[in-house]
Amino acid sequence: MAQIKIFVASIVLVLFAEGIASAQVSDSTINVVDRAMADELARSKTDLHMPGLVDPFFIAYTVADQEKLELAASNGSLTKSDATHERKESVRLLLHNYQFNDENFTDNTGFFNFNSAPDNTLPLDDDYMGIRRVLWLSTDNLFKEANDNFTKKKAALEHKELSPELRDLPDFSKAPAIHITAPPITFKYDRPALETMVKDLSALFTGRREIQTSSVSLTFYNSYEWIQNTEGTRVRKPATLCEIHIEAATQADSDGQPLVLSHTFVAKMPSQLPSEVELKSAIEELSGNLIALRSAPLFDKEYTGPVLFEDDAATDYLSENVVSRLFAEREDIFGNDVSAIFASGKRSSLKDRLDTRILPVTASLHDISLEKTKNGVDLLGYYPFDDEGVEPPQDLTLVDKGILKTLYMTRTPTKEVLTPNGHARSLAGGLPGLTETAPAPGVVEYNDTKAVAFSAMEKDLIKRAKEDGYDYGFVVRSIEVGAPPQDAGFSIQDMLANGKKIIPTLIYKVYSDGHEELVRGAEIGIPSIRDLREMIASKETVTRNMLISAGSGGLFSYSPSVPGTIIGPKDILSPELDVQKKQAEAYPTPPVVARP
Amino acid sequence: MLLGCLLAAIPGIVLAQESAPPAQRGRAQTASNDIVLQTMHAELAREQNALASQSVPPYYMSYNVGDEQTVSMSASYGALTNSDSSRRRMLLVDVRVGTYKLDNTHELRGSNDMFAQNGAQAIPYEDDAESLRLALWRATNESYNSATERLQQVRTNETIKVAEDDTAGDFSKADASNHYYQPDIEMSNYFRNRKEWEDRLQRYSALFAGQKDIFEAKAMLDASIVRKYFVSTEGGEIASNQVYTRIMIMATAKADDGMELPLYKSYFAYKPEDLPSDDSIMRDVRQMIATLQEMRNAPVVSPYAGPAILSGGPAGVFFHEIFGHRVEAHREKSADEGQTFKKMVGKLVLPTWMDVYDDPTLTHWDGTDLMGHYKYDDEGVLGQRVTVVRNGILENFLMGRSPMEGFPHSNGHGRAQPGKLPEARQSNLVVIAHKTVPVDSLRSMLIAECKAQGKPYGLWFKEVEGGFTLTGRTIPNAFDVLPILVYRIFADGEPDQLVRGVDLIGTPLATFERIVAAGDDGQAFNGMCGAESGWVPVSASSPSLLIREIEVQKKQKSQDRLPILPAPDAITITQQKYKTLGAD
Repeated sequence: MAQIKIFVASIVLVLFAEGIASAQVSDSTINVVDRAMADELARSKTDLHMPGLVDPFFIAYTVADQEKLELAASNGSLTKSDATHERKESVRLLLHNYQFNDENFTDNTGFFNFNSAPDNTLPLDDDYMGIRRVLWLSTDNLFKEANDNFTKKKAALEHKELSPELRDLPDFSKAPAIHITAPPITFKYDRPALETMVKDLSALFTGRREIQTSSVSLTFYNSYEWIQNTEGTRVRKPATLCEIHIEAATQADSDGQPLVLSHTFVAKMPSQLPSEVELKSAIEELSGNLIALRSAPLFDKEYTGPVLFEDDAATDYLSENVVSRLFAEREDIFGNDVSAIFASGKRSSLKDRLDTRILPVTASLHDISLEKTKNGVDLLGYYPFDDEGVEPPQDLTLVDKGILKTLYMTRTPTKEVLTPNGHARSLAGGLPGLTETAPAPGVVEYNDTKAVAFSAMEKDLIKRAKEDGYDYGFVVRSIEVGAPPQDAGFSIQDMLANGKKIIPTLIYKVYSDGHEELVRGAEIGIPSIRDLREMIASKETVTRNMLISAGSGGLFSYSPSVPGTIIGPKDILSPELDVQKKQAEAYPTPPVVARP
Repeated sequence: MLLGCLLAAIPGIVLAQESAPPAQRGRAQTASNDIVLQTMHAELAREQNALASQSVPPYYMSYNVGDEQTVSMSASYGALTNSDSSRRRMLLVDVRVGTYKLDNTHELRGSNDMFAQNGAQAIPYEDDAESLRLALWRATNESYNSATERLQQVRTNETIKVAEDDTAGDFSKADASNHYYQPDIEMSNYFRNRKEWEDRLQRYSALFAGQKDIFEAKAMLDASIVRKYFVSTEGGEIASNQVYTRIMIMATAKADDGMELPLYKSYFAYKPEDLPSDDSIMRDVRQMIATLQEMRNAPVVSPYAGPAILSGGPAGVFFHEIFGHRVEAHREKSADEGQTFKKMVGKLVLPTWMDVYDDPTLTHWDGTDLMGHYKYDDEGVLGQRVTVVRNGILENFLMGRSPMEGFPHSNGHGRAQPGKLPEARQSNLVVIAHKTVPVDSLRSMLIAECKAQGKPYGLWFKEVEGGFTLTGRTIPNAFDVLPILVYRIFADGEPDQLVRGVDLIGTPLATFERIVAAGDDGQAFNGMCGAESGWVPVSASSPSLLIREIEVQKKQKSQDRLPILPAPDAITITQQKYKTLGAD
């Protein structure tokens, strides 16, 4: 056995450690980009005026050099193998002053305006002038756009009576200038070997005739970012993300209900991803569960009682219902009546619960995003500076003795929290830099001084269920997070229901004699604050790198996420949740023609 | 349909698809060892057999697989901004239940039937029979389910709505059991010397550097191999390649009043080595720079209605947009469409000395290679020349396998981008004049026409960017061709004058009636045309045309001023100023 393991380890080494190096920007590249940004920023700061227009007081440039490898395979054959390299910039420019500027305002007149911004693609060569040229045009365009917005915002405010607290709230916070250079990261991998691995993994599904569709995909991002602003900040840092996603779908035997199971593995570096052997066993497990689901009985009887979340389901439960809701976002002033569109479908924040209890009195929640490693794990949620160039604190106490102390913040002040705390993070399914930022977690640690042993928790589940009149309790091992997988039959209703229900993909009835019964077609009501206060954590803990939902999202940006880490209980028992029947739908009939 | 067509392209050259470069070892050489074709064939046969016993069996099924290999690169001001390659294979399954007369594809009147078409699916691109077969099986199942479900809706819709105007049926019988095979081509074998092309693009775009008034400039290249596979339950079995390499040069200047002035140049070739020489492209780019400078200082056109000449290229685009799209059968059939020409068959729609035909069998026209060539269309029907207008009289329509009253059969014009459902589309549109005059005489005729109408000048459209046409019933039935190089020709003999900001407008039928004369020249315009069934390569060719009255409006101009600061590399004075300010 030991021999086999050593052999396997060496294969993984070959896959991830040898072969070509990728996206290592050279010292000269780092300096040329840096100089081009600095010079154009300085020129814009001093020269960008025009009679009749309001001057900028803050300009920030971000440049990201991004290399991306995307592989996907189905049933042993590649469906995608793309490698791309590009350099993009983004500019933020604010007019007037910190107290009142052109941001925090939404107007629907520009909503369908396709007279879009100039191309933000930078030369891939170290072309100093070429880089300045692109920044120059973007800055110019934004300066005019900001002036347009500023005028509209002022006009809108002439007809609106804002509450005093909103009226006096500054539009933007000052932040200290930061200087840091972190070296780029080199990815080493052998693309043909990775293609073979993805194909081989995807071929494991082929033998399972009950499975209708399946895929395995791998994505490596390696990015190097430069952030500079007129406050003097100058950050140069790498940002990387590696993902492997496995997914399979079929239909239930009896009624054709589409069934999808998926799993995503994330890491900072290719070498930190699970080994091929571990991935194989994950695929075997996922296939086994999916096939079991096909013939699993439908959830039948409404249930209000204890529910035990195990493993990934526990961290997902914590992240979706607590961690991802600890943010404060500025409410925009609306130029026209568009608020209704923007408000629907958003993730609800716990901001109104500030200074009151949201967790058990024995529980605390800290964000320690400056930690690089913990418990022997390289933490995916680590970052030295956020995407607005603000350093997060060593220890951000979010919850103490159950009381909500503060919220994740960007540099835009809110009614709840005025100052930034280094948690403005870029949203793009984990792709670093360049898109809009939202307040989001990094590394989150959950502690409960009264945590109980898992064995006791299992007994507690049955005991509590009996007291509630059931001869079984529910155990959840997997829940749906973020956007439903492609094959799940995505609908507007699903989208609007986001955050209003927990959809368990693997839920079991557990009886007192210990036997389990997998059921399908159940959903769980969102826990109330009361439920969160009564949450019981296991003594056994995990350190899990994952993508964590971030910010409020919204109708058109469905569940954005950021790379993060949760250190918390391996299992969570919630004493009183509602398990309900998923609303019946007409499902497609199973394939008429047998599988070839 | 709301969006008729977007023809985005510029005159250029393309060679026929017929003369494929030699395939390389390891790729399929014959139909019998072509794994993709054989797998499609086998799975289709199996599906047909199994579905035949269903209560609603398909009466027709086909698989279209489009295997797309692309290399794309671009450079800006002398620096490379991207150079990527990609590969994907798209599948479209057409399952038809019901009858030729009424099937699941029938229009659902009064419904916002946005999702009527099956979505394109990416399938494995390796030649592996098992994974391909699983993908085909799965997609066939989905198509079959939605086909049966939709047939129910169609039948209900038929019951509750008034009788339809067009009763031609949904699918025509056709000779579509053709077998045709071209060997497979590998990109690395077709597009060599990638580095050299990157260098060339950098050189072209570098010419724009230091031009202070040109604030966006790009040189781009796309090399594309689309291998199309088609099999049907009628016995069709086709594998063919659509290959081209295209270079596009784009540059935009801004006039002092903020008006954006784009200029384009593009080149198509079947083989990259047949593209114009480095020198010739460099020369064109220098000419573009000179033209842009001239355009910056050109006067803005004022709204005008009067005589005009369209050079061959612009005339081709004009016909493609305002005429070609309206003779595509499905547009004359749908209840939502304007049906401009439906009742005009047998009537005079153009001067009696004009013919218009659309001919996919053409590979050249008047010395230029044509992009719209194909042997078989995407429904497996032999591409045929269709004379749409003879001696000014409307005779025929471009037909796919969706029939129309009085036009029951396909003439090989069912076309689509890989993954889309084919519809009647143009290929090589050709405008012919039996009565022509030398181009110089066209000029004097224009001046005479100006004098007769009491206009101080006429317009000469020399180049256009492309255009779009709206053919829907609920929106104005109009066209808009985007001219980029337009001259004023003065009646009193003053020198010709370049003008800017011209938008050509009007309603289609009225414009046709006003064609006065044609030149003895000819020019082909190659481009990509986008419509409901995706992007397809097309061409349009025409002699220069004199039109009695054309209407132009002032182009909607960007409200943005010129960039406030000069380009960072444009003038040294600014940098000195910056240094001085920095020193303060």
